[in-house]
Amino acid sequence: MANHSNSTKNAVSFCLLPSDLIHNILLYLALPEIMGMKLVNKSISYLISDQNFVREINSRSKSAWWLFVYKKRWCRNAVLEGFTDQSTRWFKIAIADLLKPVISPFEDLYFMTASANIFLFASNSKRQVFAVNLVSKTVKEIPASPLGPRGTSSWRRSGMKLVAERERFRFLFAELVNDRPVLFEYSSETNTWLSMEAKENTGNLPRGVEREGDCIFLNVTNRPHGSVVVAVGSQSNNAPPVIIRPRIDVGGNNNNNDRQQVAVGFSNWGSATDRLHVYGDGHMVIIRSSGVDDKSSSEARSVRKLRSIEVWGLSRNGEYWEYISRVPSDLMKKISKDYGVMMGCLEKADWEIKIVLMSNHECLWQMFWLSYDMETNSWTWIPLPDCNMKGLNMAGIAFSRGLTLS
Amino acid sequence: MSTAATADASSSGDTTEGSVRLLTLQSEDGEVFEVKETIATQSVTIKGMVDDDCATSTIPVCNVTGRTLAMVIEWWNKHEIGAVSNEKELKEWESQFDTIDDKSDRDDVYDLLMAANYLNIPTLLDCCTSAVAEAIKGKSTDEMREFFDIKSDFDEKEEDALRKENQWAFEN
Repeated sequence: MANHSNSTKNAVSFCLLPSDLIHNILLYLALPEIMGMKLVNKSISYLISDQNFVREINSRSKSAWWLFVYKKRWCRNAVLEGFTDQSTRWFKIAIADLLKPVISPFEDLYFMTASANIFLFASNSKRQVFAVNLVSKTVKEIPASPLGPRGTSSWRRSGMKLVAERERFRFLFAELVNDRPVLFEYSSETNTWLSMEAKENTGNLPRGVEREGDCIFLNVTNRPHGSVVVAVGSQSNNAPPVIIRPRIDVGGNNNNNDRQQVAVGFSNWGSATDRLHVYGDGHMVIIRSSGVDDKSSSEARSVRKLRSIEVWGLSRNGEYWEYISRVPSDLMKKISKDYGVMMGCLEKADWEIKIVLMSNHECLWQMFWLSYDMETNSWTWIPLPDCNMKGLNMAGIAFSRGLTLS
Repeated sequence: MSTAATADASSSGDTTEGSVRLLTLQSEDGEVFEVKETIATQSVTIKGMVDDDCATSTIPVCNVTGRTLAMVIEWWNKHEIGAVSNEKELKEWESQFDTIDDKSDRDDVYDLLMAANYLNIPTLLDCCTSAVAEAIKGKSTDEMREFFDIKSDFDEKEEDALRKENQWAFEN
């Protein structure tokens, strides 16, 4: 680009670019970067505060995915970090100052879930849930649910859902009460809980099962051969939640090619360690692995190798889990490393399934983010920069969309 | 365009090379460039002039220096259909815009942004916009100031207030 240096040159600087060009540049950035630009000088700050630009950023942010990780060494220096594929780095999300007036720094907090600008934390010692709103900079204490105060270990990821829109949010979870699946729903508007016993599925699934975007799925129990899921309309309209009992029918004596293919090379059926299920939003990932060494000494068994990752969804009538797709082998080669233990998290929205898998091998954390596009039937691997987890504990991980500028 | 119209155009000062018409562009500082019409119409602005038959004499390209216009023409040449045999080669050539750590490269990209904006060349505009954005990514506010060579005009109070407003983003 330096071949033309002998003629005259304009002296354009960044601030002299027309505002629409600067706006276009900013649209490529992640929110914390845009906020950082705001501090550069007054003219840029003014451009970023432009109402039309804010509206544009907020509307784009609605569909931008974030992965949040809450990590801690001791409760005093816990850090919330977020990654979005719009950038190439983890961002620290500063919540300590917000939490300080409400929650003692010694409190043992666990990050449960997030949606839009709301982040839910559970306190183990207070047995309470707190909602942190990053934009309004408020922390709200959520009253105990009808099941009473509970510690962090009682919450299950696939059984709860936070749905936030601007200031308002609903927090739902499903639980077995006297062997009956019950839906509990908290609304921030009324600051109260509702509980509703779910009805058996008599063939009339909520409309949303056909139009998935309209439905929230909460897993009540997850067993190797089937789950109990509660489906509820995503708009709060008091329609009773419905119980779905999908079976997992892998390697059975059916003629379905896909399912037979899935079962190939899998000899230890039923051994829980060879098959990890991760549930969320009416979907499931099955992660198959095997001991690295075939000698079944306990030491060899403790190191595992990933074999396959498949995504499954609910069948139309909700009676079984249906195979959808699997990570192609070239992608598997890139992500398949030896590991000791693994956990994962799955979210689905607008025909996109996001999966994060975290494994630990000899105290080293490995984290990978996979994305499956249901419309194009394609898998993408979003490389995550090192999250510096060495020596730290994971106190919660969640996907979220809709973090906004204001 | 009919043959008669082409003949008409050449008699009024336009040149043709084989069957390809050449357009004459003049930069703000008076440099003159002859460019094939098929290439120059990558600019939506110039294409509009050609379509409206306004491109028959020298086209003044105000606000764009000869130096920048030469770079724009290089871009057009590379992006002419069939000029580069494959997408990979083109991407490799475009990758020179990826690193704008040098101030001179940065100035070139700003100049190209202005030119791409004025001449309405979507591909060049996107490439330069994303180049600047990529360079900003991952930088702290201080690093951004240094990168853009901008001095803060906030006093301490104002800066504090802005930090408080978007508190969560500022532990980085």
